[in-house]
Amino acid sequence: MNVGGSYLEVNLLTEVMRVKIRRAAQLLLFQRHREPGVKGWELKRALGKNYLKVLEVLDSELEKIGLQVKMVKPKDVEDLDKARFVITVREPLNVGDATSSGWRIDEIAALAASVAFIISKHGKVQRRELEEFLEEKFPKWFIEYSISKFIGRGYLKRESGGVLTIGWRAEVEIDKKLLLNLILRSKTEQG
Amino acid sequence: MVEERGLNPFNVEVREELKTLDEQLGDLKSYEELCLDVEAVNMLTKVVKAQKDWLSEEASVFYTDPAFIEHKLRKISTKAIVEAFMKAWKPIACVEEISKEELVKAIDYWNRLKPLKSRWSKFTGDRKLGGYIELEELKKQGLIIDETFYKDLERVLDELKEVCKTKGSVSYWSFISGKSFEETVKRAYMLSFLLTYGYVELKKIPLKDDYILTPRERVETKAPSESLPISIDYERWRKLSGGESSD
Repeated sequence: MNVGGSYLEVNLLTEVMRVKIRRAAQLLLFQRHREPGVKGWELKRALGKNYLKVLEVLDSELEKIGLQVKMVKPKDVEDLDKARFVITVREPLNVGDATSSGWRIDEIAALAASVAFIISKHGKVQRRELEEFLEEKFPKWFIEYSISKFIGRGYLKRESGGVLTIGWRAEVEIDKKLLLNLILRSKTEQG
Repeated sequence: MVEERGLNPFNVEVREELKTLDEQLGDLKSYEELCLDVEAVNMLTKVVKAQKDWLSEEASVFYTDPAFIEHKLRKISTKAIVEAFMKAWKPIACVEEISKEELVKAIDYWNRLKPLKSRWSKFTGDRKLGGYIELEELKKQGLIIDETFYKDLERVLDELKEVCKTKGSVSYWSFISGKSFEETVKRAYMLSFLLTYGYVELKKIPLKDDYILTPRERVETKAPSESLPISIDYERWRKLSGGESSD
């Protein structure tokens, strides 16, 4: 009887976990707000106190299809309830994948240059300064449009005084160390 | 400056600045001087915070000379930047699709929505225009600004200069306080324009719900403007006019 009871309990627990994992996947994958991702407190409310455990299991399930659960915490905040959880691809995409999902090649280049430039300036730069930097390679109208798009999508953040910083989305999606490392190792153009 | 423009916070010698402030503390006599001293210490704490952030930022990218990164960015091809970025970029995966629940809500909304004709009729019905109002009347009611507005501004500024002739500055609440509530609101309104145009300086009095007004030559700042809402209600005016404290 005992063995049967335990078996039933384990099965029930697994079923509860399975339901929670499905719910977590729905919450994280379906965009509910203007910005993607779900806050820790929302997940706690929907999945219960052990939501981190649920996310851990979900992460291992997503690994099979090349995705992962990622967490981004606001600067100087330790409270996980305030953190944002998202699902990102586990392995980098190729340029073709990005362009087929609506990114133009010159937009990707402008985004890459903007993020790297801001990192090189210790995370803060005047918008005018970034525009001047990008003007070396892109037309003015394109720069204005692109910077606004990057701000809108959360890759850059507009601070007071015309200052731009790295946005929450860039923090989640871009491996800053790797980006700088690769840029520093790239061969410079001749002439 | 350091905080806003992202300048190197280590250019500020915090220890030296604190030492100077410490030396000068004994000579500070007036309340205003002490307030400025507190403000300076507050600014230095912000510089220390900026120094901490600066170091964290450097540590997070395995400190590389920023000038070198910038040089490299200018020299490498667009293709090389894209290739580097694609290796470091793992975009968010999300589905933009309507859920079953949202679809049910949308159908319900549609079923309850009245035809456009009936909804718009209340705006385009047989309403008649209430009549016309003369330009002079609009000016009289203060709905249109004419040259008298600018004369009034000058008058308020002259009045402020006169009050400050002896003391140098005046309390916000005592200056705007008028004989009637309407007059008080109007004076606050006029003063807000003088502040926006840079003819008057406004400083918060710490720990008090009041500000110091000082007339000055017009200053055009390049820094971003800030808004400061100060609410005035009838009760407050009554207290002011009754000679009670505004605290």
